[in-house]
Amino acid sequence: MRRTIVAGLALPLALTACGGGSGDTVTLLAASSLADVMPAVVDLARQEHPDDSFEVSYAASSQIVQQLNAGVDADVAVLAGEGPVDSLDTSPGESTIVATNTLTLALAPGNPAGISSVEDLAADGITLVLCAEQVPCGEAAGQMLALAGVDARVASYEPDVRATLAKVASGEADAGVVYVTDVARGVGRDVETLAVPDAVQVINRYPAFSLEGSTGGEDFVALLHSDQAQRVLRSAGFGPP
Amino acid sequence: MSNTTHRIPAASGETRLRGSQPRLLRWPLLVPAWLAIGVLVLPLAALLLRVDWTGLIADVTSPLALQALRLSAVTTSTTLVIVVVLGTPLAWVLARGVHPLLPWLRALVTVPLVLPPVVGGVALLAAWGRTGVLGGPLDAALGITIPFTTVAVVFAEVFVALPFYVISVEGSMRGLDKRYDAVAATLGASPVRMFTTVVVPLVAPGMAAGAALAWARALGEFGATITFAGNFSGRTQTVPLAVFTALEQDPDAALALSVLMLAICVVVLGALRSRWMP
Repeated sequence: MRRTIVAGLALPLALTACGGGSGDTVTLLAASSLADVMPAVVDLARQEHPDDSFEVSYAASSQIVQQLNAGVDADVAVLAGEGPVDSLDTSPGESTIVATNTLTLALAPGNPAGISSVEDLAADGITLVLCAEQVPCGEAAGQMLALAGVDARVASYEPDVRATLAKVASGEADAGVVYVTDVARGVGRDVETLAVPDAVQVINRYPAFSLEGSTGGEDFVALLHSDQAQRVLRSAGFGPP
Repeated sequence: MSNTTHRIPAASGETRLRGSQPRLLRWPLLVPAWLAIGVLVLPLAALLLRVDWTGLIADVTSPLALQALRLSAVTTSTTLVIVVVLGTPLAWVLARGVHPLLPWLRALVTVPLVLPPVVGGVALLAAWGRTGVLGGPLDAALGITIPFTTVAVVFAEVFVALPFYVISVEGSMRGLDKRYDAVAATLGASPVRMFTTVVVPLVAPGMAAGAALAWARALGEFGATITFAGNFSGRTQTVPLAVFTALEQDPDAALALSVLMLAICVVVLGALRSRWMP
């Protein structure tokens, strides 16, 4: 259904953003937190460039940086934080912010630990899981806890935000700090959420950049800024750039 | 083990056999064989080329690496004790038992050998997790939770290493002459005494080899550990998890730890060379 609606909207954009050669393969590396929304954005790109094929690989932003530094052949990357961009060996083309994301507390089904505030995370006997510090969601979670003055005992630093949410959804951990967009889509439907107060909220910015002057990559970054793509991102819970 | 008896006795016969091999038939075999060697050896050689040798000592003695090495040493030695204590009797049961269900039991024991370790981690969570079949009652009754603890690391390592030990030792026990059992029994030894004083000393080399393999497997355990025990430095972050974590933050440290693991594996295989060198 959505396809027929956006097809009409995509037409003006297709005229402005002139594509690379037809029949190209555009390889996109995207942060794990984009795994649910990116297929819809790639659908938009397919309508714009029917002859091109699109491949998307999802990983933790730090892993994507590592893959790029190891020389992986990609056209465009979208990361979940600006920090990892600085770790790139070679500076990419201009990177622009295409979305923002905020944090939320995910609580185990039924909230067995009775957590009702960010401060409760410091209580004894609470099993808290965070993303690893080198991943944007872990960096943001660390900043948020520091802002709140919470000295929490962490049970585990999970490789990415999906692993963090999974530990909470299965009830193994009492609480985890994840993105709003992760709980918005309903994985672990039973997971309860507790909003992070604005005063200690940390906003994560998602930079997108094309690699080595790839026109397919540049087109994709332009598409991410388009109204249609922004609408798709917004409906998945992402904030405006 | 000793395959010398299968050799063709006369050396001259052997050379004549090799010489009579048509050259054209050899190339189609040699090319893929060399490719196979390249597939296996090149990544390991690349690892040695990439490592920063001057900083190697500093990298493997960094606090993160030392904590991981200490944790790996503690958990794998605990695992080894559990594996030997539980695995030796099981191997004996599998080798000498006559129950019709034993072949099925043997197949069951082999499953973790081929199961993807991450699936093992999910299975361990289902059993011992806080909401698990056994972990749930354990938490309710005693307040003990296993995930995210060093105990969970040992659980994961025992789960993946035990089959290696059992299968290896069972092989040695099957090769044991059954007349030993009979003689010991006629001399009045109880089954337990016969097992500890006759069987165990006779299969000691097999037990040592099985223990070394199981230990190496426990040392390399990653998937079940990160799934079931999580990743926290000093508590559940073993060397493979530290390599995975460091790869993104400090690639040099990750390479140094990888080389150390490679060296340990070579030493273990070297100690076992009688098992696989003709």
